[in-house]
Amino acid sequence: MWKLLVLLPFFAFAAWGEAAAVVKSVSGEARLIKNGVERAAQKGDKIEVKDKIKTLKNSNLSLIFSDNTVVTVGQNSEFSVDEYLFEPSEKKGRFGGNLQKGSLACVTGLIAKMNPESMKMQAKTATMGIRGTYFLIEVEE
Amino acid sequence: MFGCSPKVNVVVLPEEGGKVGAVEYVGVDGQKQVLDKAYEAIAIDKSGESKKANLDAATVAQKYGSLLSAMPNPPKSFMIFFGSESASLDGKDLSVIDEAVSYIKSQKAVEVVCAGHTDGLGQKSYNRELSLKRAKAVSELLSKKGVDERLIVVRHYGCANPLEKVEKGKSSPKNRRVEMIVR
Repeated sequence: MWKLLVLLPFFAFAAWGEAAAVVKSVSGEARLIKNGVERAAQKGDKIEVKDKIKTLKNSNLSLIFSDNTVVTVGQNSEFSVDEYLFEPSEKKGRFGGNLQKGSLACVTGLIAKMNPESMKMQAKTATMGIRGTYFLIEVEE
Repeated sequence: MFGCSPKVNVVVLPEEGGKVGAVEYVGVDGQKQVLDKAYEAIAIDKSGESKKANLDAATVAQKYGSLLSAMPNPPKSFMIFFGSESASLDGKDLSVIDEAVSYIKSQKAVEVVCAGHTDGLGQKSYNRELSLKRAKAVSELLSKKGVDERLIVVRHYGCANPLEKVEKGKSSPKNRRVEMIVR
């Protein structure tokens, strides 16, 4: 009984707090900004829509999304997830990534396979449609 | 300051096994540019003007090597199958579970999804319940074998995500499964 009570909040979280991605690795120093609060990003952190990631010099951070999209954010970068939806049972998926600064590399997952419109990456004023691939984007200042 | 407006560079890379997908960019003139060859690149300036180029592996490795070498391994799936209407692991060959456990440890996994599925026999609500029981049976065994239970996420889909398409109401051993996705 005691164990059941302890497990309860965990399952409640898993049901309602669907994260878009999880931090797979951090090398050097990276920051996570959630609801306007900034702190150090750590391996295992859950990333939700509107969260922002900042990396410092000689640092990088990797994310794995629920649809198995993999993103590595390079050094001196700022990246946020503007839109994310993945409902495999309903065949619904949308991915809107936004690179404000720096660079990223990405291997797409299941969302990009759903239809040609489902995945977009914005970098400054340019928006790219992603049709399932391995690619990199760099904002050169 | 105004002289060095930012420029966006995009490069398409070959996936493991050499497969190349595609990235599309629609320019200010409404023209669609498609990058679909390995190391094809596009440079887009602030006004939206773009220029395509063909890079090579060596140039990309030199310029972006540290970014690309930081890419983690992609998620890996392990699959275990169940008997009809059963969520029991008793008497089963559990070598795939042991394989998953050692992979979880060696990769220092940050998330392990246990996704339960059923075939199309029976009621939807019954199948959802059964798929949850299957996923929980696997997640309990994983934590018994030393996987940190905070890493485990249990999902259940009933018969909504079949591995093989079969006629409605037909039994399918391949669809009675739990997929462990190691991230």
